[in-house]
Amino acid sequence: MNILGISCFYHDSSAAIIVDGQIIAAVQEERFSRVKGDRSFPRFSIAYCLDQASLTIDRIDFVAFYEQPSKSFKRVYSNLHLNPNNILDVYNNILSWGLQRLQFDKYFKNVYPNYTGEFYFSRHHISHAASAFFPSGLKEASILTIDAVGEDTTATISLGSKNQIKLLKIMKYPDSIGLLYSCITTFLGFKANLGEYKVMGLAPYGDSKTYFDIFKQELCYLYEDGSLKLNMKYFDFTSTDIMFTNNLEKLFHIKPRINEYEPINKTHMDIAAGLQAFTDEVVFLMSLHAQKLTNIRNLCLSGGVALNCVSNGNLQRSKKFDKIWVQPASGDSGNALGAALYLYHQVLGNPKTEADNDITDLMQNCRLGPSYSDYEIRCFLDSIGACYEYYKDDTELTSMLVDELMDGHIFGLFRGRMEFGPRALGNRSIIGDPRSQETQTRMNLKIKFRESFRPFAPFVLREHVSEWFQDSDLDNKYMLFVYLLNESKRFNQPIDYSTTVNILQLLNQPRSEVPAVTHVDYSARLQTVSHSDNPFIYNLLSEFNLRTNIPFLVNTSFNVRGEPIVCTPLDAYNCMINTYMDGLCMGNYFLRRSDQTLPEMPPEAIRILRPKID
Amino acid sequence: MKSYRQIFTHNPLIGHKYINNLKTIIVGEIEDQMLDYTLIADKFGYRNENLELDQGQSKIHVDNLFIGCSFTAGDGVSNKSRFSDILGNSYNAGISGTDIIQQYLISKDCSEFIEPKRVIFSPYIGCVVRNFMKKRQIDNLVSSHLWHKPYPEIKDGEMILHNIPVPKPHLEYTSNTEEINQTSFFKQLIRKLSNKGYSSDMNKNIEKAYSSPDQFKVTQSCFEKAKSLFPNSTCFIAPIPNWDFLKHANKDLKFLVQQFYLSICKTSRMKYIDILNCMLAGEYNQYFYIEGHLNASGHIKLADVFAKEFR
Repeated sequence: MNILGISCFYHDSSAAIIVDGQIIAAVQEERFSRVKGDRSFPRFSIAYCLDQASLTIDRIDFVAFYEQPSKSFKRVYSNLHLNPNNILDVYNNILSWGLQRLQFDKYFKNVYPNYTGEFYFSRHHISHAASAFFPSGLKEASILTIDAVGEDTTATISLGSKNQIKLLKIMKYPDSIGLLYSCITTFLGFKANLGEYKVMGLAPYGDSKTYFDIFKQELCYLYEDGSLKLNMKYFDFTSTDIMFTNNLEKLFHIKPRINEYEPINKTHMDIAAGLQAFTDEVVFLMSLHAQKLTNIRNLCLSGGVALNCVSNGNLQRSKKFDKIWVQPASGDSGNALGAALYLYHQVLGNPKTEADNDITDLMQNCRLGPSYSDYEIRCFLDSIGACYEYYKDDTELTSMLVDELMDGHIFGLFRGRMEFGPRALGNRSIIGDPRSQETQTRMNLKIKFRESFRPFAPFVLREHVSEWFQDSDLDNKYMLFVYLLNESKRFNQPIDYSTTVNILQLLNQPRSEVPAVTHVDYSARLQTVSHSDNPFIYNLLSEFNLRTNIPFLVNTSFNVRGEPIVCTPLDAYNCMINTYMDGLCMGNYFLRRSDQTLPEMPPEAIRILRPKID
Repeated sequence: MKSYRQIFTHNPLIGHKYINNLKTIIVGEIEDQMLDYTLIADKFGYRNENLELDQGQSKIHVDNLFIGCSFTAGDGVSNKSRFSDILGNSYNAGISGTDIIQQYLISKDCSEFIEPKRVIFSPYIGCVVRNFMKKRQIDNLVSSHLWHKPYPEIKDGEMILHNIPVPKPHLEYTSNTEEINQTSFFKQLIRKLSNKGYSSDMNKNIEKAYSSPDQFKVTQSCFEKAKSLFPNSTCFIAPIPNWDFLKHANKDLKFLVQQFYLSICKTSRMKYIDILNCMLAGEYNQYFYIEGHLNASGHIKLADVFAKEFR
């Protein structure tokens, strides 16, 4: 049985394909279109999924769509406020709803007239729940889904058992921790749906106590079960550009940050800290309530808020759960997969595969996107006149890369199948030496062209995780939890953040032997790597550890700010050329940026000429 | 052609070929009613299923070897929907974006491993226009940049080919990729008002090319050389018009093109297949109107034309 899952027309369009319950491929459209958060119909994603499964559209039995558009439509247009500024947007939206979303099946058949199968329309949060539970490998679990809003729902608690998901509780729009987080994100000058993780990264620089009570008692009312009621006098959800009213400015006694170029001050950091602490509490209470309702100590998480690694890390440290599994593609992109799995297991009654000793989950280390063979890579390199070296032997390549790392070089890694979801896990990564403070600064300012306060995350050899981090899960292979560095590994006590406003002063203070990946509060968002997870990265880490006694490497996603993670060899090559990266490892080929024909304009100038994306 | 995979690779003889053993879905154009289709290339870098040699044979034996550009290769349709595949027992050596010179070089390449009963040169009518270009824009894996190609020089009445081996292309950052048919709005307006009987720059270029003695010499030379590579095969020339040419070219231009090829066939002792009049006789829904190539109906029509010719 062949099922194609699709999520589109809202944000993060994607497609996924399962064959007899096995996940064959899943990918986000933005990676092909190069439009960040692309919401359009995922033509290329579908083409790739069919290619990977060696199927044609007429052999697909079902198309599973991730939500019920009529329910979303009802919510959107009951909250619509027309004004001269948004008339054109509304008109375009109505067209899109009318021609595409509300008639998805007709639209699909227009694009694929050879399709003869059936359509299934899931529910938004059910798709999230299914994407969390079915690939987890767990026999049974409490399932918590939290996002901004999907249809008219903002959070759900379900019970997952065998091949069934039973919905137990829902929280309705507009009461939403996701929308609250997005609103404050826009207040702090970042973009909704793109900037939330920047706020998460900013939070450790601030003092959570300053504004925590304002979140808990004024901006919303928090119930014991973690549900909340927003005080709508502070919020306006008719637009994602500005999601708050003037009352918020009066409450915080500070004007909203106009854009990302305005300097960040202590108040901004404190607001971020307060928001993060409040979110931690909400997620914790919701999780506990889920456990209470289901009486099960396993927890599956999904929805955009599940990407909040700080909350996830706190949850794990609480030791209230035996096992916490978070869907790596927790945003709406994962719903394509969720819808397909829900249809296969629950609706059609097929049994679920459970984890065994060798396999911890069914996500295949998230490597569900396209790969490019060495032959294809060489064809590409020859078609653009690139200068490259070829390493036939992986060991020789690894050794050379470690030499480069120890020289302080930063380079891109482009190997194997692309990851599904927002995290880069080694196949589409930029890596560097974590021992150098300069690595973080250089990576942020000269390669990613992003805010200097943003921390980086490390790969870590699985067998060394406990040596460096407190209360850590050895199988944290999807980089979804934040852990604290062991006290023995810290250099000194943190300075008093509440009295320090200079972010650079906080940033440049060395905090451990691996300053590039240790955040100001000694936290790090780890990815543990075992040999079975990713042999190449494991061997690279092992070699680096052998020579330096540090089992880490900096791992950041292979993209620049405002662009999706690279997908094709061309994307990777362009990213190298248009930044100050030192080199690029594609398959078994290695390229040095200095050997290539470079543009006349420096990378900073090229970025100025590009349209601003976020 | 839009795909998430690279489609072409550099080739030192021809300039570019399909990537060996490629299999990928090309995303169609909904506005043009072009469906997604699968592009398959063989180990030789042409759009065919991999054919195996018969025991004791050193070459692949087929009835028909088709050589041409994107119209032959079948841009817009899957392998199986092309006229060559419908006809059967054929090898399709069309490569998108090639000109007459490159198609001669394709013949040279194919002569190493194919033994056909018939060789049919089926270039798009506009291929002649490209002959003297030194570089050509190739759309490939989302990028679109200029690739080198072989180009001719007429010296003492003979054709000499330059740029072989073809250098590898480079991504060029400082200049925009040239649009071959770029025309300002003002120029287009003037053309429409002057009512010249053709509406596109391409037809104007075609008229210029087919009136040029150098172009005639180069095209004739290429076909003659290509024919000599297949001494045991019957050779045909069957130039294919696109929809724009069919609709907008006036009678004089159509006559000019036909006479061009008839003259070459006469001197080279090749047979001419009048695809132009066959397509004129049919309905226009044989093409993708926006994209310009033959659609599935067009390929069926062409297969029928060739089948009648070879009976």
